[in-house]
Amino acid sequence: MSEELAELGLGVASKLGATYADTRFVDNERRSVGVRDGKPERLSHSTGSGFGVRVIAKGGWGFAGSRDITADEVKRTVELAVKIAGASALTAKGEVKLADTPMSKGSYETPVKKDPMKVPLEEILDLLISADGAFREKSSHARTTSGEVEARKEDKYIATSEGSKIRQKIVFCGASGQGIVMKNGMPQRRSYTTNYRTMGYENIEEVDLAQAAREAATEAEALLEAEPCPTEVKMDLIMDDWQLGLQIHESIGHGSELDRVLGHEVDMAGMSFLTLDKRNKFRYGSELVSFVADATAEGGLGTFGYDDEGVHAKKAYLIKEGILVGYQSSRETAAEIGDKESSGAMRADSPLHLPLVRMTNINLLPGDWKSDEIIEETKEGILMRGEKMWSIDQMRLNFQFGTEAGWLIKNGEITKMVRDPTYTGISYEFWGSVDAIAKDGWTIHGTTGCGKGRPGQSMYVGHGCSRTRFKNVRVGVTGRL
Amino acid sequence: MSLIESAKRTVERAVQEGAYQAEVTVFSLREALTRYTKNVIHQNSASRDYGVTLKVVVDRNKVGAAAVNSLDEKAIRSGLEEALKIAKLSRPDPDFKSLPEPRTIAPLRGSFYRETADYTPEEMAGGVKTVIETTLDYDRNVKWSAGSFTTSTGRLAIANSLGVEAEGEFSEASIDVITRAQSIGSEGSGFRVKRSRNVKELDFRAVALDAAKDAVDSMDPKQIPLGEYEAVFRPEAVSTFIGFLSSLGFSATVYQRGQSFLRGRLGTQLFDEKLTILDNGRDLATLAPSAFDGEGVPKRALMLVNGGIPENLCYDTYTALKEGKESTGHATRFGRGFGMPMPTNQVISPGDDSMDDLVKDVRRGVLVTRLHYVNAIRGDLGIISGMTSDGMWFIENGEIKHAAQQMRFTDSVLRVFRNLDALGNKSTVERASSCTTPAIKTALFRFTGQTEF
Repeated sequence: MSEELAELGLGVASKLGATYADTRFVDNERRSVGVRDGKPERLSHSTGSGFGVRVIAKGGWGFAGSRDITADEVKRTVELAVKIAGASALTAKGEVKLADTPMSKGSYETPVKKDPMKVPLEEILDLLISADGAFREKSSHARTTSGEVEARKEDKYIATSEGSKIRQKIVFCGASGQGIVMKNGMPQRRSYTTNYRTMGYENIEEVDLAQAAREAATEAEALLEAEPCPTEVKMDLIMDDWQLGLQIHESIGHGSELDRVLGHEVDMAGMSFLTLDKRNKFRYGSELVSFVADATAEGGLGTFGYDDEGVHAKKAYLIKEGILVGYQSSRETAAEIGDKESSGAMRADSPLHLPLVRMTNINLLPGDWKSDEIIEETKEGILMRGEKMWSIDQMRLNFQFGTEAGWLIKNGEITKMVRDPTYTGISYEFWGSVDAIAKDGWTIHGTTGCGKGRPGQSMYVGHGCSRTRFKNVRVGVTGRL
Repeated sequence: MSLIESAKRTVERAVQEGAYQAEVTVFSLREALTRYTKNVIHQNSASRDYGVTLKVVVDRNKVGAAAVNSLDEKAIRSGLEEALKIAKLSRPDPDFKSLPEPRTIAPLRGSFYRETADYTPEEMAGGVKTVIETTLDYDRNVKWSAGSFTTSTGRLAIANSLGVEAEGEFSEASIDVITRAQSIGSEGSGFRVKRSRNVKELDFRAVALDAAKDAVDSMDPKQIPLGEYEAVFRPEAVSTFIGFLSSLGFSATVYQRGQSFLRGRLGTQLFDEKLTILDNGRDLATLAPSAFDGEGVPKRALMLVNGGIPENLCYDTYTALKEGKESTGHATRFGRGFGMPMPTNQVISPGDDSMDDLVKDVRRGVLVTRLHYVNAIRGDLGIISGMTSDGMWFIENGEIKHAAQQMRFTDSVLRVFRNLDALGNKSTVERASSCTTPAIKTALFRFTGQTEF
């Protein structure tokens, strides 16, 4: 049915004078199973359908979306989108140009062995309650513990006035948990996860969640006895888990979104210091640092077949041997800077929302060190794990992060754990200080909640990385007084 | 069928199908956005959304929920089946006592304006064009403007099996403007936002002029050293602090989990005595007044901070009954059945000082427009970190000396209000934390990092 309605919508748009149109019909399904303190919490299932129509008419953009999937509503919505485009033309300075993209007729489906929507609820509850209990068994100071399994499906049909017709089904899921422990009024937190990936429930089954919870609990208890992180010191920083993914997310991922560079997001999340004049010249990282935006990586949360403009999934360098070489783009932003093609990054979180330039899998390519060697060859440093706090300025320069746990390293050995670690820096200096990247342990970490745009959209994206060392980082900015 | 009839009918069906208790929320929502950057509209959209959230309880305390984005009977039935299935397969929650009992909800007029609902795409684009033209006319150094003009209108209906019935309409419009002034080697940025339930009350010229003035006045910013400063915060910045006070302190959920900074401090002089915060969901001076909360419990005034002393927490039915108390009417709206109770309509009592007075009182400090990307480092201590944004100035001996580059701060929001020197005499509606607040001056604020603009 969506194929017929899409054709209807494209026909109406053409008749009304649209020079370009695309339609996107989407069915979403979301399953959320949570536990807190050993009992179920937030058990829910939601479904949603709808469509969005994007047009260029009279030189302006227009978009309208609706939940009613009927022929009459498609006509009304297309008419509204064209009317809105006409209103946009009030400030237009010229024709909207789109980078060429080959017409696509195809389909893509996330490879899934076990449908996460069909796994019995009892099985998921058993898994979470067991992990929750495992944390509590190992932690005599557990104040509150929680865990969650989240699974989503997105079934999409995209048709454009240029002839592309694409059907795509994305499935992803993951499990995570955390415990907050408390002693003498001081809380500490430690988290665990299976990672979130575009896979079926097998992603969750691959990990011993209860064991992960036990390890997290042991570390949480240790945090209660740990000394505070040294304050206002400079030392080498090593990261190897999702916290490194988050650092990539904020400083490399958002920083290289071309819509931000061009000012499209200035009123919300800001812009980027990676201005166009820096391309192919600016040293963003050391020679060891290369990043790709890779929508083709197996299992990444930013893995798909086509973006919402019908552009085929791609893998391309953003930073090569430390030099900024590319951006994440849309057809419009690519054309604006003279690129021949979009990077294929346009995605929307709802049929009622406009697609935006979103990260795919922004991956730090592995180096040639062994993970253990990075620790062994660190004279004075700190290993930080577990995201706790993040903040970065609107040009993606000054950042500050707090993590759940830190381990001080002296002469190649981990000496002791410290609590409430933080670090701060300037993005290009920070990545420029990288002197070691591991070849082993490379993982694509996923986050389901990347916020951007107006109205706010939440997207699922991935960040591949392995253990990495940053030299001479400012550590321990707590603001404690 | 009206939304409330749909909600009631679904509740009846849930009970017929074995639910011990049931709560159904039905909403319809229309949103429009005209977003522009560098003087051109680049995103312009409208949408019609609606949905039903079903929360059912079986065996007295096994809870399940489902949501569908459809008002179609078949889809709602399917959602109900799913919610019942989840509840039956769930485990008992000993902390769940009951959904709320019905209470009289006094009608509230003024939460919805037809003018906002009827506003057209052409009118929205016209408003943006006025902003752009006013901005560019202000000064030759003003180069471009960006921002978003949004309208949203909707209707919300809630019914439960104990007899709660609540229905209301709401509207909201906002225009925000970021303006950049540039000349060789120098750039300034100004920001202003205006919000109202009635779109006709937005003054596009005024908001554009204020942002343009700040953009020009903040050109050629100089870096200031790290350290502690006196600080005057405009209302937009204050609203960020209030948001963290709310989420880190005043939610009963956070308190019950032992993570609130108010643990053991309710009834103590935690803040300067000049700070008074009243949360009043029925106050039309706030942006989103409502007669009822997300469970259909009547909204009422609740004193959060009185003369610097935190007095009350915000409860929904779940957290209230856990302590044998009554809900304060702070269940989250659109929480899909599982939100956290939060302050929603905070009014910070103003002081006597004009903005000029606040600045004149500063010996060595800064004037801050707003804050960006703020997050909590230690919630139990109220420690947060973030950036200043869009216009900051260095003040010495009561006079603005020059524009300052943006800075990173790391400080406790508790300390900000403990060292509250003065409050402004003019409040504005700020959305960031659903509060209505004046500017403030604090005696100490800690900057911990610098950037390059």
